[in-house]
Amino acid sequence: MLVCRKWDVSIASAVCGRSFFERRLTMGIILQGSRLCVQTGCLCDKANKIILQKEEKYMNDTIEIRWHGRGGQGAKTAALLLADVAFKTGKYVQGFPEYGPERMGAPITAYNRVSESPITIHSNIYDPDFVAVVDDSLLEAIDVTHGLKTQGAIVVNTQRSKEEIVAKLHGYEGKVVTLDARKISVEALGRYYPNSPMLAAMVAVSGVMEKETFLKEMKASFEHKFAKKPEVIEGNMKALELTFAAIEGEI
Amino acid sequence: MAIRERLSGNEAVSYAIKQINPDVMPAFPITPSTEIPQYVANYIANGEIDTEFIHVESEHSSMSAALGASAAGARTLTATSSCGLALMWEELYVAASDRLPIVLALVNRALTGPININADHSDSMGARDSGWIQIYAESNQEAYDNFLQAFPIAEHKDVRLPVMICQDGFITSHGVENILLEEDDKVKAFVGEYEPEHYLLNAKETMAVGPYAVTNYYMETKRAQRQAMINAKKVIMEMAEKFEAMTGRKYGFFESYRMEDAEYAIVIIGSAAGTCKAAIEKIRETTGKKVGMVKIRVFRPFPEEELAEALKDMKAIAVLDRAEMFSATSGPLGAEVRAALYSAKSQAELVNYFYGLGGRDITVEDFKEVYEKLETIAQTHRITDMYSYIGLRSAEEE
Repeated sequence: MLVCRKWDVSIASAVCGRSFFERRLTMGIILQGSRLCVQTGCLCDKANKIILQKEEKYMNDTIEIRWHGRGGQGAKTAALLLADVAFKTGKYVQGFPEYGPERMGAPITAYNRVSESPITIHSNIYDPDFVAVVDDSLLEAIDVTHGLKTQGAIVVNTQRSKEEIVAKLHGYEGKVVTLDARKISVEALGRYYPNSPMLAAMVAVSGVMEKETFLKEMKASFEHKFAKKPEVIEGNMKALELTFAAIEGEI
Repeated sequence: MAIRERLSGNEAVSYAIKQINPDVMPAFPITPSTEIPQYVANYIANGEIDTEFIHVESEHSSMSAALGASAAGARTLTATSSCGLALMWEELYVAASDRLPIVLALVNRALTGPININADHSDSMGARDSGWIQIYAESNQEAYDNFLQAFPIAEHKDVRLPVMICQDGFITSHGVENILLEEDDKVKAFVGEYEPEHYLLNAKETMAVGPYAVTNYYMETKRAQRQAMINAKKVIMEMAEKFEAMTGRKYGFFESYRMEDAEYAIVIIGSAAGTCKAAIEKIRETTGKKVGMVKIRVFRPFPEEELAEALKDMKAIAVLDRAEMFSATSGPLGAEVRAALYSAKSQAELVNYFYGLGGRDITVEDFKEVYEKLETIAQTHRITDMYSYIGLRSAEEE
């Protein structure tokens, strides 16, 4: 997937001189490989060249993810796992927590940056591309969509209906994905660990890597992590796959 | 070939410790540096290194034990943060004046009042006059690289001073980033064996360490300490060159970023320098304005002449301090940079900002505003706020 920015669009359409070009591009996402010429049938060579140069730039763009959870639920761990698996696919990554008071149950925030090029920024993330909410009781406490880009998405772990959740998102106009991580976790692992389902959901929604690559890397990482408890590997893998199946229709 | 990895800053420093396998590590836990003794204790328990870990009841004791171990001739280190460093106060001075090459992994955290666990430089800046060499890191990579260079600098016969390797609490200590690690054999060859010239456990040469010095001797010991700091400048550069030959990564007293043609410069220490770099790239790309940055790596000894040379022709400079010193004027870095420029007879306008105290975040946008302010100052030659703050809430906002 290729995420476009508005200013790239204007350059491309100026060169190409066709207005519907812009409409296509401002949709934000085009499939890599199919390229614009296939989609719009209007791409001249000069524009193509610029698009190719810009494509490199898009690919260099950093994907920013913000995680909201409560202390002890593993939002930080999920962010670190995402960094881990993205690292293994050759990316530059950051995964870092923001701590308030150190206690169980207090709201905590964790962040990810994933990029094709080295990342030097060391600030928190205020305009994320994607947001993950590990505990839906946070929706009452904080505005989890604050700064979230409308062309991005939010994933909420909840047992409530999507309508109920959307109503609490302060009018957020982007994509909202709900996931019952409890149900998936209990079915796959017999216990409630929201981490694995939320991680899989964020990978699926953000498109930070292909599903197959993700599953392959996670399998290797579980085999390493649970070398002495091989019985839990299958359950964890099942949690990931159930998550992909559960949200497939939503992304 | 370097090893591609992703580690937190604490993991990176712990990994460096494992590769060095020092003799003695006394330590007492304190957030956010606690993970370092934890990881090292794991390495020891797993038989990966044979460092003697000493469990102590406070930081006063950990630095005291480090003094004893180092004086005995052991390669010694410890780790701490914030109030832990404050509790070592007395021993910090003893380590430096007894010329004991102890290495301290400092994970910078605000000093208490109010209690706060997040990053600022008030702990290490408070210890800046204790006689320790201080080296700061922007990233996990730099924390690791600096740590590998610490013992060779500390133990060099022309230096023999303790070294503090500083990184920003949580921001790098708990943040996972990509990192390149060097192979064990290369690290071992680079750091080398510690062969102290004089040490307490040498039966052939009896000696006293840390005796009383009457007025007739005290001042000469201080002059000798000063000489060691002067010598350290040369040794730090030698080690940086040796390190570059091994890794390809270049280090100096400071990093000059986009300074070749810069007219406006920010001077800064630590992790926020990376955010400043991103702001510089954005500004240059969108406006073409000639903005640059100098990131201080070595704060003690202070590279006065070199820094003045790098900055003297700027139109305007902002020095950013992540610590107060309550002089009611400059912060610690602001005062040093201003003094350096005065000696160089520079006409550059200079302002001093406080930022990031107690972990207050600083963003790309914040840096852009600072550069805009510098441009205005250069045009008007009027400075309305010599000392100001970044990200401080005003009374109206409350």
